[in-house]
Amino acid sequence: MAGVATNPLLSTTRASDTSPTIQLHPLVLLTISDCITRHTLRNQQGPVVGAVLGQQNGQDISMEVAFQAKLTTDDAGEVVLDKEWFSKRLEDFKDVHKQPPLDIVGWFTLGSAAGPEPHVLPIHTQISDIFIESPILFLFHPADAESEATAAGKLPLTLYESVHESGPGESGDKAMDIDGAVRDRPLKFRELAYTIETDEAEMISVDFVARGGGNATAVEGPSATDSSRIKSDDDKGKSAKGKGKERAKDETIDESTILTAEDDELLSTLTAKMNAIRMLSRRISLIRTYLASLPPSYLSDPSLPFNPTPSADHPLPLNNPILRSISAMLARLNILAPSDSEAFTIESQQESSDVQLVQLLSSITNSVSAAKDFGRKSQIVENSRNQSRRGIGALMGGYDGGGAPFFSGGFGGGSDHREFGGER
Amino acid sequence: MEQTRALNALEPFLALSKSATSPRAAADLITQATSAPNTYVFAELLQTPNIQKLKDSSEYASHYTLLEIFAWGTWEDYKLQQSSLPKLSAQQHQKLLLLSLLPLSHSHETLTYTSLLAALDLPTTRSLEELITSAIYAGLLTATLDPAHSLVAVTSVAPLRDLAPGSLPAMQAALASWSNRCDAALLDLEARVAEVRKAAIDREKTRRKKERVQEVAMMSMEEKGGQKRSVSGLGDEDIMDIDQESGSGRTFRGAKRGPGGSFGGTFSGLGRRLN
Repeated sequence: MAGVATNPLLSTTRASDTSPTIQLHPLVLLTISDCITRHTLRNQQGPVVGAVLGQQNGQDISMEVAFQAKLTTDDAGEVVLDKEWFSKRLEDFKDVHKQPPLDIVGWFTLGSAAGPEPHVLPIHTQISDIFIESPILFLFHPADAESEATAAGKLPLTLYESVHESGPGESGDKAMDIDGAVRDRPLKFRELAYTIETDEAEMISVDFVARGGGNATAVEGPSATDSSRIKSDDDKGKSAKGKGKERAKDETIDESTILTAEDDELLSTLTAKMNAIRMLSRRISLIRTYLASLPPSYLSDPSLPFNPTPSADHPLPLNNPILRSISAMLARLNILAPSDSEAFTIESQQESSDVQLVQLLSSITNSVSAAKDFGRKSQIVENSRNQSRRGIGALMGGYDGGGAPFFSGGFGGGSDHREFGGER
Repeated sequence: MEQTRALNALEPFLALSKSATSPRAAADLITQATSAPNTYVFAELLQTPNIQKLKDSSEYASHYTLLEIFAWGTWEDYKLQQSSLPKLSAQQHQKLLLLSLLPLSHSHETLTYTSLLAALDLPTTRSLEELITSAIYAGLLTATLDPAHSLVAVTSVAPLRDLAPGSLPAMQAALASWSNRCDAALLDLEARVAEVRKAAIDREKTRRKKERVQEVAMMSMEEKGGQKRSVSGLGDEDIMDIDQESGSGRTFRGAKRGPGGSFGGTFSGLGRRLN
């Protein structure tokens, strides 16, 4: 699957200026991962396919919501969309998202990073026949979810636009034999660049998911043998992740139960900061390594000649644009702090003292409420003690014949009690 | 972005440099390249063989030095060697001033009107402001002017300056100190995380201890209450009965507890209800 060197479905041409630019919203990603989870847990067969809705404005396409589609098998034995159901669902979604109006811009499925596979073609042509002329294929790579690139911040997905390319030699292609209709006008996929966009409402849900992710438990999916290839890859990734998480959970079980909500929030903020700084630090060390690997030249020693020849030790030639960028970035470091450093310090000190003041006030409030609580409790205890002492006093009174002079409290209690007793 | 534009502007001169084999043509090319609009980087041109040859020519070596100054020098460098260098045209002068702004924006000290005026030999603040505005429009700087405090607030500098010879070690040192700061910040944050966890554990320990103490106290209370209840249960009749039946050996205890027992029982019950 990953070993395919050249995918016959991939277009060799580079993305042109006329290619659309995609703005991807996280809600789509959440929906897709949700679909994968459901699909895996329900042991469903067949591919995961769904529609992506968004706005198209000239060459700018935004992908905002997605939903999973119902699939059927057509007469030719190919998996295609359930047309009626899909149209109905699409209309529903259009009704819901009227302002701004959303329409179908593409569809998603799972696949390898090597590119789309022949089985995507029937659905793709179906969508382009019925709904939109050139839908964008959103290929999610479940196999890559655990890879290093993903951990470094690259999302395991690729977007493709479809282009019709006429070229010789396509008819003999194995991939093209799958669908007779495709052979007439070979469909190729061209990779698109995308950016991630969010709005405020989405931030809330993303934040929620990020929090909930910590408590997520993995459920062992079905065994790899009875599921499709795509799914088995997905399972492998999942169970591996799940095991790691479970192990981690056992160790911290004590902590995770005792941390309060504020602690959790503080910790997640700190962790986010740490991750950001770690990433920055990795980038810096990358630049340092790059600079260290440069051949000795006039830059390191003014007496050396201009054009250093790359040697075995230093395989990289001098790249002036990169060097200029590094130099400009370092130049910024000194001027990052505001020029009026005194006012800046004073302001930041004021800020921090304000925070500390609020903290103090809150601790005072806490103390007051604790004192109040203590007062109430001690009153109850006092009361009951008095009451029981009366009882003891009565005992003593009984023993001493009702008038023990050395135990005044007991005496008083005794007399009270007598009144009480009298009433009884 | 700016760099691509500047490189594109330099492109025709790089192509021309191949045919500029004579020192005179090369020197002419330098003058053209430095006068052209949008050419802000010169290292690529400087590295072409024909321009490098110029270094050894006695007549036009000064042009080579001029190109070096345009690549990484400043107006001050030019002033120092003004006598030996070719005269600057108005465009060249303007460009060298713009380029000189970039290294000057590396620190807050040089970003005051007075120091900029001195460094660039400009007559009036107005001319300085015009120069900075044109630098901002050309994409060399992202900055705002602060005439009230006579300051220029620069937020970023375009990567349009070539590296001066021997500047690599300084860059490496800066990066090293930056990454050290990152490590220090990471350590700080880690300590903070550990602190929070420790505080949570401590709090939990205290809570559990409190709970235990409370439990023990409750237990002892309960026991007391239970005893009393059992006593009171017996109190009213049984003990009295025993007292009545048995001999003097028990009379003392009976006398002690007999009458009080019932009341004590009532009251301990009352106390419990109050609780």
